[in-house]
Amino acid sequence: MKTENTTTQAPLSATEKKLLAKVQANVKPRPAWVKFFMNTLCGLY
Amino acid sequence: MQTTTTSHSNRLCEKIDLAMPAVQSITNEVLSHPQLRELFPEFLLRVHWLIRFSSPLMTSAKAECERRADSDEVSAAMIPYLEEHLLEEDGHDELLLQDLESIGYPREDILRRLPDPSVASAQGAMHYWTVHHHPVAMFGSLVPSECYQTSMEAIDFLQKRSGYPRSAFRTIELHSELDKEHGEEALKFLDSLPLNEWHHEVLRVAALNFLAGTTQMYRELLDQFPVD
Repeated sequence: MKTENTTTQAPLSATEKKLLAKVQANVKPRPAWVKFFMNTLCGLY
Repeated sequence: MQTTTTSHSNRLCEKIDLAMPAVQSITNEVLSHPQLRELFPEFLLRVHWLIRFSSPLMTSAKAECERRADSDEVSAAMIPYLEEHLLEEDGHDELLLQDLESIGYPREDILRRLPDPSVASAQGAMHYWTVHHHPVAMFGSLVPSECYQTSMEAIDFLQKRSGYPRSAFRTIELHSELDKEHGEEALKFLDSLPLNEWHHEVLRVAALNFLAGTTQMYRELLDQFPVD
């Protein structure tokens, strides 16, 4: 596997922070009826 | 400053992982929805809006890689990967149309529906970065789609709750099975590329923008099915 030297978890840029906030803004408080698959991955589809 | 060694794929996935709790929260909300039977065909329609753009995006990426290949090592390396992956993805959008037809949704109606601005914006941006910035940008949608697939356990739950026949789930089942392998191949391939900071910038931004658009698409779907 090709690797490179870098610091891990580089901080997010302003643009990346804005985009992450957009993702998170689509989450509403979880209704009681939501069964959360804590151990089951639910991706985009 | 202490430095550690990490791969290209880990660097991208670290950023995607920041968004995944939100993505999973929304998809869990879809799976658990009290009106799942009514909501599910609309969910599949949106998956079709996403999947139908996979091959066109890779075709555009391949053409751009070929144009740049003589002077761009990353583009040159992407060509054989794209040739193989285009074959692997071929026909998945058609299969999803058949899945929807199997539960009473004619393809003519599906194809006449105007895709939401959220998905058009997300995919349009991906195409823009891929063609006009660098083709490696396409991994910004490929990695979140193929490396974070829905589990078979969740699909079984979805079928049981919705009451639809298994024929409606063929594409997402295929995605769940095949993309374990495709996802690993994609990450391994990314790690083989001679990427630098410039490439990583577009990968991160493209991935987060794609997830912003797709989560917005699902949020707007859920808002169409309010629960008292």
